[in-house]
Amino acid sequence: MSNQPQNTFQDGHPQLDDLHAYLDQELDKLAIDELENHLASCSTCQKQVDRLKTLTLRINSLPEIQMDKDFSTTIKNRIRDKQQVPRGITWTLLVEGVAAGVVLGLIIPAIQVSIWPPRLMKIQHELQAAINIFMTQIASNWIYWWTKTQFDFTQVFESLNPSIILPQGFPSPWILILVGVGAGLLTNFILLRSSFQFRNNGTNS
Amino acid sequence: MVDSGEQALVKRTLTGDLDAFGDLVQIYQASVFNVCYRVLGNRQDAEDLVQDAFVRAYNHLSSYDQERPFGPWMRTLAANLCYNRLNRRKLIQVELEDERDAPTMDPDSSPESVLEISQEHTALYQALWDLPNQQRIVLELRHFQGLSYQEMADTLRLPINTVRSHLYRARQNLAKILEAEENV
Repeated sequence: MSNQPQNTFQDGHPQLDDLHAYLDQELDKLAIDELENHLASCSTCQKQVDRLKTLTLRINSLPEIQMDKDFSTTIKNRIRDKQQVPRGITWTLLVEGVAAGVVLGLIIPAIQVSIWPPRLMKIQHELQAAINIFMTQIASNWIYWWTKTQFDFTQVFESLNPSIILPQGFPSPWILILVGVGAGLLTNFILLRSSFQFRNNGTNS
Repeated sequence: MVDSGEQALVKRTLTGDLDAFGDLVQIYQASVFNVCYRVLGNRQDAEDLVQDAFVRAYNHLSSYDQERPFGPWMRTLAANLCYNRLNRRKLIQVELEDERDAPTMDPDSSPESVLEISQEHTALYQALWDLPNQQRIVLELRHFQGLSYQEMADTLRLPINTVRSHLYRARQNLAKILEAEENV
């Protein structure tokens, strides 16, 4: 901590926000001493402090509003409902993930490396295009559901604003969403590029 | 000092006992409602926010430090959620004034639980709701939740000097509004 007092005096008086900080016990020892020395000899500032004390007392005296409703059942039901949704989505994700893996790992390479007779070349291209569309759809679906399992969309906007509940080190949802979108775009790019290459190869041959 | 019964309820909740969380809701719902009501100025919104706040607390209970009391954590979380709600509302340009209540008791309250709110306190509520959102939230966190400047800055993710300045302006404005009302 600095040896300089936190107070800033203007025209021989402490600034008003310093008086607030003083009453809130937010000044360091040095600053408190300096301020108290000043208050002992300055009736104007002492009056300000008294006024502020009265206001503080008044605010703190605000009574609580009575609330007799019981939300516990509604809240428990909401939590139960929410818990059930992601489980279904997780299964969807798993099935789609396995399907995408099979298509990505087996079918597409098989179609790509296999040599089709020239008369079936057109069918191969059509098949390739269909697979590309199918894969794009799976990729977008997967990204959508995956993002949904990670975050409650209604809360994403809130997490953009100051929030105390995101654990430390937790990446911003927006970074994860951008990664998801990036992965989707990359998948589309790769699929479209391979599709064009096939089409060009077909045209050249 | 952490209440051991409350701590046990938190622990049971973390093991998946939803009824234990229901008990925590019953203990804190009234005080959380008051936080929301002071910040939002509307009973219906406050009741909705109470539910959202508890659902959110349940989902993030693992990040709660069990060495500290549950109540202040819960109320600060609710205040923060209200603040986010107000900011979002500002984005869609809904005027808070149009939705404000006069501070009244729950219409469903039993006759013996109904307390009269004095004119002075009604004026104070109205003055509180006349403040800009950021000033109202720092007043809530400082005066009703007892947070230090640093804790407020961490909660609202604002620089400490900004928090200090909001608090100062909030009190200045509140004093002016109250003074003007008294002179009417």
